[in-house]
Amino acid sequence: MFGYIRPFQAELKVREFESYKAVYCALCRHLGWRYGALSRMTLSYDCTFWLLIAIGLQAKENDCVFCRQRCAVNPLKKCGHMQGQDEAFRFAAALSVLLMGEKIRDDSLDAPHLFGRLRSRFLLLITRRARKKAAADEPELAAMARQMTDAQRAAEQKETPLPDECADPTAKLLQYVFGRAARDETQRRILEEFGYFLGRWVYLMDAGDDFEEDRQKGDFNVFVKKYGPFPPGKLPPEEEKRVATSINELQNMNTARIQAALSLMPLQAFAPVVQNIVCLGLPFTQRSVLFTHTYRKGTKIK
Amino acid sequence: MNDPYRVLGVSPNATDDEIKEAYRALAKKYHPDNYAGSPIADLASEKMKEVNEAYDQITSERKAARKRGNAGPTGGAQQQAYNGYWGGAYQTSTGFGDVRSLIASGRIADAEQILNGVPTDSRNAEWYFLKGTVLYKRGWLDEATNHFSRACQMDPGNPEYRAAFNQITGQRYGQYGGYNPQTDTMNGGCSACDVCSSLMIADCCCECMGGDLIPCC
Repeated sequence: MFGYIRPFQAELKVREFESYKAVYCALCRHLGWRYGALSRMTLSYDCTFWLLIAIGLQAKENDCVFCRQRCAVNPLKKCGHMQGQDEAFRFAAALSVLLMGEKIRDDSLDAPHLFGRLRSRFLLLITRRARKKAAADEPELAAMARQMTDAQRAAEQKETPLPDECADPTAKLLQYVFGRAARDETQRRILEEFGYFLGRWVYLMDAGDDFEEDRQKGDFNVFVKKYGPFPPGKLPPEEEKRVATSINELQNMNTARIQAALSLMPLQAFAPVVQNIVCLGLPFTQRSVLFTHTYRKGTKIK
Repeated sequence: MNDPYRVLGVSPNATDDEIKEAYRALAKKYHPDNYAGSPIADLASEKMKEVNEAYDQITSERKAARKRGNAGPTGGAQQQAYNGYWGGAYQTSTGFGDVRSLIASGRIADAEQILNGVPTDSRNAEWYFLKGTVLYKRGWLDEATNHFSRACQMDPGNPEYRAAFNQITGQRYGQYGGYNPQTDTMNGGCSACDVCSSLMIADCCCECMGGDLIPCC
């Protein structure tokens, strides 16, 4: 579920990209400070995106200070780090750890093989301290995240699960998460709408990405259920195209609502980057996941 | 009121054309069509009003300045209330007046409860349309599409259902953002191979006609 929300780099100015990276690197640093070196592994573009919006709503462009510091993971490299904005970074760090914690917990519950179960157990064990600390820092968020995983499991176990229904828990979680970035009631309404559809988009993108793998392995996938049943073996290209087009159309409806909400957001900083991510980055992910199959999980933006 | 130039995002020295362009871009951005059926539609219409007022103020001020204090009528933006298809422009309401007013006042859960109480065999086109509206507001876009399409099938002549279905179909095909595989602009141009092969083909074509594009081959 991580890493789909990323900028379309070809259209970003170098200055804008530097500021994006500075937020990303600063989040990594905060994660290390708060939850130990291992929690840096949970660093994601999605949490960085939340930060861009949370900071963009309260700080002026001039307040954003970047400072060149040594990278904690690769000490030979120096990169810009954003200074200040501790409150937003604190929340984003907890969010990052808690989301990953829920993902590991979810995996441990439905890992089919002994090896997979052992691996998830092991991960749960070594992340225990960080997860506990994050849950203590953000108890409401931790409760929401847990509720999301449970609601999602329940929705996916139904006889005929609807995509809308399965995407709802993730959407509700992001609705809450983005609502937390609001400074007043009007902003809260806009951000909640924004978060809800972004959550839907993320869930459905993930399902679309895993479609082929889940279909062959026989694992749960809401689109296999919706467009299936499929014969075993390789899908004919026209069938594959039909599914990809339908998923893409569903995603376009989400992007339309996300963009409409973004237009109303009074961003004072990072507006071009956020605009780029929403208007170009999300469609580009749709393209590379569904049509060109060039999306690779976990690839880094250079 | 805010500085009208700041609302439009232009400098006070901007030319009339620049102002018009900025106004058009903003009007497109906050157009009610983008927000029809959305729970934040009221915020968008407020913003639209602000933009309209700012544009009116600037144009009238500039006209006044040109005519030396002889202010003419305000030109440009027309401030008409635009209702979209949910605003009751057509309102072919039959048996669901209460549901419509609940939706209009934002009480989505109550509206849905009433709709769900209607027995399956007496669900008509309007029922499917209203249920679709409720689902759309809640964000269940896939189901909303199914319900709107069902409503259109049951009552093909109804402009209200048709407008809702068209709007959601436009969203599906990427009219309001997103990715459309038919009009792909994200290729980043063509590769060196494409350039070479295109040149070779062009050369062949020229040679067929007796000319030559690349003399060496």
